[in-house]
Amino acid sequence: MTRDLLSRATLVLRPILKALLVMLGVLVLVFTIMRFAPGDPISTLLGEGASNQDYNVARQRLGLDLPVWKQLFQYLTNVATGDFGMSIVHRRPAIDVVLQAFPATMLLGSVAFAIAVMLAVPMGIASAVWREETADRVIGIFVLIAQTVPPFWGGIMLIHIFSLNLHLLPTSGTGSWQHIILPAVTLALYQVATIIRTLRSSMLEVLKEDYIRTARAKGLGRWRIILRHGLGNALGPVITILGLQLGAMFSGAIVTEAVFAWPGLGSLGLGALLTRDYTLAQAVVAFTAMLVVAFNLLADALVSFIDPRIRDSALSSRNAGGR
Amino acid sequence: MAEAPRSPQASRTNVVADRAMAAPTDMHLPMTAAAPPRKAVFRSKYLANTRLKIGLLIIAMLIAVFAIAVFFTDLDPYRQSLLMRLKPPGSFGRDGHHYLLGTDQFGRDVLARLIYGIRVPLTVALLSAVLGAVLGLAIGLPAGYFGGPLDGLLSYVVDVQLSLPFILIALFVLALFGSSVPNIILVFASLSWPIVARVARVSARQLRSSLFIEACKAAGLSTTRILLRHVVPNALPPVIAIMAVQVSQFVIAESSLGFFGLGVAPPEPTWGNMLADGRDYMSQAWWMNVFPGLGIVLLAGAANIFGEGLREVLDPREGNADV
Repeated sequence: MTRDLLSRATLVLRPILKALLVMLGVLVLVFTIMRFAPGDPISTLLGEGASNQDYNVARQRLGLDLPVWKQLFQYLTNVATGDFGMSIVHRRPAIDVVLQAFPATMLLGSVAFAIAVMLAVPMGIASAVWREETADRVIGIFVLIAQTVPPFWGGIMLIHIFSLNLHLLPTSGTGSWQHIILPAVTLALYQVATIIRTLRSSMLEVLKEDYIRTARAKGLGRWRIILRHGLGNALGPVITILGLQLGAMFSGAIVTEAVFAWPGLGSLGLGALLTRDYTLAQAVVAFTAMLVVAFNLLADALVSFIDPRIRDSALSSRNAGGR
Repeated sequence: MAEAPRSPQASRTNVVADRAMAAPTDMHLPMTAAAPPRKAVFRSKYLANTRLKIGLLIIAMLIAVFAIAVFFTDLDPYRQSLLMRLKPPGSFGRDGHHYLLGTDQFGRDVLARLIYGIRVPLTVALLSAVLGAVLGLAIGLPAGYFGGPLDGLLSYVVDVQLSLPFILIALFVLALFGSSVPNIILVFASLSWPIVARVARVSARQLRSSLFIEACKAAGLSTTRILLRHVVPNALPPVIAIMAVQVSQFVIAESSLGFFGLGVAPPEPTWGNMLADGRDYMSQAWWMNVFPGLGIVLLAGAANIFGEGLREVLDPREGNADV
């Protein structure tokens, strides 16, 4: 009994521990990139004409006179307490600026994801059910196009069609609900290919399973089998892959935001890079990566929640003394 | 682990053992087959694959157009003409030059820039994919073959890598270290090798326990020799297929960098740079927005199709599950 409880606890704790380790790795990487970049951060900070004394004071204040490992340790403890340093351009704590931009990215991401799912689920099912038939081929071409059109160019083309030619939607910025449509569709097109491909191959696997044959033998309707038994079981891998692809999806969001001047993390990060506000850029990178790790954890939890087989198999393998 | 100098006799034994071991190797992999003549295999497998043909054809065409433009026409992507600024497609210059696709804000020929624009993305994408594959193989194969701490470290690095938003990190590093072709290649390769390493690792794990590797060991081949001569060739096919898909992604990524002003420096015609120029003239010069994107889609799409085709031919296991 206690043993069971223990293994359940490790089952919950292990992924969390792993996620924390990954976050640590991301932070160490970001720190390393910053630390070994050419150029002197203090000179950039103080501007030209600063005295030697100012220079030394700033150097000490920023802890840049310490050995590298101490600086790393300091950076990690700072981040753990939510201190990402001061944004030079905004003259505010970087984390404040980041948190202010975050809701816009979340909003854009969720609307885009909703559109992507609404498009991709029917297409994924259709291309699995009518495998190698016309529907599958047409969807295959759509997937290829969605995959190879870079979001920044797709966005520009949408602006040309819907804003400049048809005058239906605003070109960029925020303000009304119409403003979100073009960026959301652009980002959705970027995500839709992955979802369709994964769902298709997952469905094809599932439809070969014994329980599908059983359901068919029971005389259930075709679409009832496909939707209830097929789709239900095929979603697990899709969520896992989506979780793994989150980093890539954030890349898409960043690019899309920049094209449409959508005031989220992407525009913020890009602006920070172009204005040489590297503290802020660093904060954006670290924050985004940690967000991805957190969402990944959530995706894993969701998969084991909707698919008890995974949970149980993980449990039994652990009890049996598996890895 | 370097191979100790051997007597000529010993090395001859090795060669004999290599050859003897090559037979079972070939059974796994018709790619290097000795039994059916190579030409026949090539014809039946490679040329029968439509995707492979289409992808290769498009890429060859793009390169041919570039070569023809360089050697047989006077198209110049750098020549400016202040009288011919932002002229629409089909305009004629004073010297009688026909600007088929119009001109940009400096009066440069969009067609010439479009054709020359393949140079940087293709070079960057190919070299990045090769470098990434070499790194990935060098780390993934020993990790899978020997297991142990190296293996654990690898899966950790892969986790970290997957949680990074590729474009943001690339922009971050290039903004800090300065952008140039070698730097872009280094960044792309160092961000993408874990994907190759993960695949190589799986292959090496499978090969480790295979009969012919056992036989190699029994024949007294050194570990280095087994890895280089027998594990690498067998682990290569899935890696090559991944490289082709990566080329397609790198083409898009390189264009994104150019679009955000952190690609190869401006007078160089790259599709990303051209789109960045066109962004300021969206309502005046649609041709500056449309054509460079078509270049990206053609090249990235062709590489993608080619990669899918390669995967079907080289890695039938996965091909069946997904196609």
